Amino acid sequence: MKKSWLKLLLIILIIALIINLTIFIPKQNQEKVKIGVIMPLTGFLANVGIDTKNAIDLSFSDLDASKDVELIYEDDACDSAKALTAYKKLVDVNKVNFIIGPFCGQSAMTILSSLNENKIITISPGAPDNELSKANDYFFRTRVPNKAETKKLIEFLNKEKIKKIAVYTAKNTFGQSYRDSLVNQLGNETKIVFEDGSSDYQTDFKTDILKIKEKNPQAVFLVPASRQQMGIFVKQLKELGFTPIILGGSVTEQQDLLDVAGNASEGIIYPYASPENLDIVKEYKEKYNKNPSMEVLNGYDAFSILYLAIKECKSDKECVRVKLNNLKDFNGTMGKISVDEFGDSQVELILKTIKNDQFIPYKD
Amino acid sequence: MISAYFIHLLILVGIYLILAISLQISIGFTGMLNLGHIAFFAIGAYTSALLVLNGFPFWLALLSAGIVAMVFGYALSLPIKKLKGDYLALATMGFSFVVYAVLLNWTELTRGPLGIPGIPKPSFLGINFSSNFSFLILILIITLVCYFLINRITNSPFGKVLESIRDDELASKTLGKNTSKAKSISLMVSAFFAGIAGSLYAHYITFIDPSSFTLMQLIPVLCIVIIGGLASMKGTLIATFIIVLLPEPLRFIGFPSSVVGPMRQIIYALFLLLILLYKPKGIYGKVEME
Repeated sequence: MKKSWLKLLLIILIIALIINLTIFIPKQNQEKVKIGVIMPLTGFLANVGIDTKNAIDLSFSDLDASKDVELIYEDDACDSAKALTAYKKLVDVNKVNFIIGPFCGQSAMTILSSLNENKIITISPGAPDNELSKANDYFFRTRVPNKAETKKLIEFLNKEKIKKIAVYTAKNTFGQSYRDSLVNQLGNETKIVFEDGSSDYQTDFKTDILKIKEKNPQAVFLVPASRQQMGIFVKQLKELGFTPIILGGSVTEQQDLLDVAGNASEGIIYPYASPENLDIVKEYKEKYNKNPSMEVLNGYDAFSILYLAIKECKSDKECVRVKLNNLKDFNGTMGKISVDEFGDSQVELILKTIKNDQFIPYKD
Repeated sequence: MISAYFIHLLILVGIYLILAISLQISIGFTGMLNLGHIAFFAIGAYTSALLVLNGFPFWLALLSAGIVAMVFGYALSLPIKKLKGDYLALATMGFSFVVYAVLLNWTELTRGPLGIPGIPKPSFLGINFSSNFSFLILILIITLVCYFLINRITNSPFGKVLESIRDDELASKTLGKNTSKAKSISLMVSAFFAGIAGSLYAHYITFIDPSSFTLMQLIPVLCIVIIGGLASMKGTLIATFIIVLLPEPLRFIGFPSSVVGPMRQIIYALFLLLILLYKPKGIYGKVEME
């Protein structure tokens, strides 16, 4: 009986401690403007999330922002409930007025309704889902939406007179959004002869590749859940002796793909914003020992754009929102960035390809 | 004034509590290792979201979520009635994969991987539950009702039959109990309450997609059931608070940003291990899991 009471007392003490830590808000440093950052620091997109976090940190130090701004990181693991918890904690406990992120589409969709309620300015370096265009007055993106990328690829398809294409995209919001963009923009000249997709952790694509091979498309639009998956896919494609043109998204460009696919990745064609600020690319590579991908550089730009608006407006959210809405020809890492009426960034895209383990501009 | 963040955590506690005590009916009281429970959660969430977005009132959507999940619970109970132990676990796990595949691929109904955005907050009897605090009150009421009902069921003569099936199904049969029927009802009731939890989840998070209902999402719920102790409602209640709230103070420890995500996961996992090492039957466990 006594043991049972002691046990109950211990449990109550633990819960009281937990409640105490969560309910009492620590004293805030009022001098600096707080920016919350919601990134997938764990989970299947952790490598991209951490790379983007590094880019944000790099921008933070390059702009010497520590005297004006405080960054507070939270992990959402690309999970809707965790994203909402991270958001609530940042807004209610840390009293942030601005958020960079979330990186994942489903996380961004989850917090949208809360943005209006709290009027939190949010700028995401990821979340390319088309439905996020003009989804909310407080949501902005430095990443170009998928429809801009697929438009570039369709120009290629028309130019090369490709009549038959297979579509193989990840079965998540990311892949489905790419698929929908392509299908909606595709004209009558090109027919989709096969359509399917991969799950997040899939590693064997041979059955699907054989089905694609049966249909004999001239090109395959390939956007699986990760670059590792893309590498495995093209490798298995080569093993099965099938060599269509592979068209990818901007996420193609990363060393992970080359590490997994080796020379099987030769000739993949994808849209990309050509980095204009090569100093930042070099700086990132020296500090973190890897080339930054487009989405990672989007993180750098997201912080830069937000910080420059905050420098003028301080913590005035409406002022920052107007600044972001009116952003024109900002010198970003990926060229001149302008924000359109949908809150999306417009950046000029080119086609690139992989040749001799290098990512180079595509020439006819 | 209670922090909005804490209100959010309490709402999650309420949803997970309903999910966990409903899982207790099949695992703890009946001894059926049901790994398909997350599928009933998903069915409830999608049913409720689709109904409300098509103009049906929230109260109808909430009840329908439970009823539709219950129907699927019955459908699942038919092919698995002769299965036990690991085979039952595999069969129910297969069911969760089937439901996930349907949600992912039946794009005309569920929008597939794009999910269902813009699910409205509930409105009931002229009261709009759009604020966090009002939603918390709603969750509290529904959770209390569910807890009370499940407690009554498990303490009833029917509950004793379920426990006898868990402890020795053959003995229960020889005493004239229709164990197949009892197991079927147990799964149906468990599914009903999981569907209710799914509905509440959908209307709170306001966006659902198939990735929110994979087997990975069942793991915290299983942890609650095991750490709380099998067949213990009181233990489940306490374990829900522990599992949902335990990671949160770790946000305030001030880890460097380079390790914040993984460190929290490591510490959380260590705490769970310690609890299970010290209390292998769970906090208020009456039976061990075979």
